Amino acid sequence: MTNRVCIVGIGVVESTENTAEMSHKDLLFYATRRALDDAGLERKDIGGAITATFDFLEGRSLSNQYTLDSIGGVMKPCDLRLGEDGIYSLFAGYMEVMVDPGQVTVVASVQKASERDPNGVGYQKLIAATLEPIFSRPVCSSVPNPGSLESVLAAMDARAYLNRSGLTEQQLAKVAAKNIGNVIQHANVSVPGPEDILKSDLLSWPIRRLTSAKESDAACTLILVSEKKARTLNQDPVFIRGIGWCSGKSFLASREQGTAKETKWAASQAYHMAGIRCPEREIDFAEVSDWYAHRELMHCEALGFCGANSVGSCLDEGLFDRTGALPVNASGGLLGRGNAVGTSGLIRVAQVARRIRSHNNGFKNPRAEIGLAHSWGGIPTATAGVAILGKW
Amino acid sequence: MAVKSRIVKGFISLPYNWSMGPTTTRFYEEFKNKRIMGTRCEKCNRVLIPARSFCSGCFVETTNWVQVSDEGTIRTWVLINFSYEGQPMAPPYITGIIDLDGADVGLPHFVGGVELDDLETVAKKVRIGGRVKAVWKENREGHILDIDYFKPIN
Ligand SMILES: [Zn+2]
Repeated sequence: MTNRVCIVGIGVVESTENTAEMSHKDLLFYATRRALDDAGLERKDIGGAITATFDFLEGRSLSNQYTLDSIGGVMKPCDLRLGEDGIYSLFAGYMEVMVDPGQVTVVASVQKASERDPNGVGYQKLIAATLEPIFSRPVCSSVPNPGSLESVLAAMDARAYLNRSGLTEQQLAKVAAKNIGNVIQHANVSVPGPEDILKSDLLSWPIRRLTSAKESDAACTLILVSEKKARTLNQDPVFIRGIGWCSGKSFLASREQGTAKETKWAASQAYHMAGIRCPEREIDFAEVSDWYAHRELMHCEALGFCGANSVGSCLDEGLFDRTGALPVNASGGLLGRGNAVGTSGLIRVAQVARRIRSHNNGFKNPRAEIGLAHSWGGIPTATAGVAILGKW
Repeated sequence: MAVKSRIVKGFISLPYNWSMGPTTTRFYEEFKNKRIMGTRCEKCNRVLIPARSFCSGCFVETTNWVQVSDEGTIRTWVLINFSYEGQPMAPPYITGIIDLDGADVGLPHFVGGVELDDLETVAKKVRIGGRVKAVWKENREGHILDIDYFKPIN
């Protein structure tokens, strides 16, 4: 490929920064300002701007129109507004830069879970509203506890997966303990072990409070340019070597349950583009969707990080640990950092890009040259996106 | 079997708690003291109202607070003499965009204090470029409607 696309600016604002106090426009502005500063660019340099947000999550129709000024996109010749996870803005931005290699493209996403009601009923209503209304909704919305429709649907998926793979609840707890432990880096804070995870509230067997990611606020902005343009900037570029995305069936009951085919297909597209034949050897580290603990393992399997039926033993042997041969969610993932629904996919890309940039950022594995970022749209979607980033 | 397609009725109600952010919150706090405050961009010198936390043109934070006048000119206006769902008040009334003195962004609000029976007479008092002044409510609670309406002057 002669005209490669790279990331030259990264800006992230997460819940640790008192995001509940900021308006969602502010949140996105701060992320974008940071990304521009990181790249050494200004608004005048921006050629195209792409946002990805969901109207119902924001409570505004055309919500992405409303945030365009927060990413410097007003009166720019190329702007796009997507109703998808933020990782899709990366895909769209990639294509814009491929079309016009002279262009600086901003891709961004914001999410404010704190603006929905704190008991989560609002989000559960949203989940109900995503269901097809004639067959699924009458069944799913009449479950005894409307506050946990999401975990009911996730539990069906998890049960099917545990049944197929032979994995145990203990192993799901291990995933959660690993990811939560990856965030807690201060020696004086105790890290919960798998036994603590198994003591957390049972939402809908086998989904527990601590094996499902808590919703959070976040904004993320990345600046994309061509390789040629990157040479004129001071920031170390991180190359986007492969991208792929895919959606499975939208009707709940026609989905297999307990599999992640859309992730597999998205990955095969990205691997093909990046020239990766053996992901378990060629991918150095990954940030994959751990919306629920079982999904991390399901995704690792679908991404080809281990042989069929060996994901449990890989986990038990520590392959996916921070210090393992293929660290998964060393950032803490969604279980450790919180899940900014609709934005978290782009944040995974930012995490991977940051780690590729810097070898000495606290990770023990020095091999961090090719990383994979994965996003899954969550219950009840069947949408996945994969991006493979590298140093060159 | 020949059938007539059936209809499934749907309704969605969703609660939200939108954060104003500190800048808008202060803007409304100042309303309690009949002050309309904007923020000045140090790069382009524009005064933004309602006060904004950043200038979308220069893409910098704006932290320099300035008071703008509660008098201004009408940029455009419309007489609403019909009913629709979710209307802010019973018709007839006038909505307009007011360019306050000292601000570089318009403020959408009501124009009032004029007889609204006849469009011809209204148009003599309310006109584009015409001067108006805020009429503040007695009880102010930090809300856009702490200003009752803008009244034509001169
Ligand atoms: Zn400015």
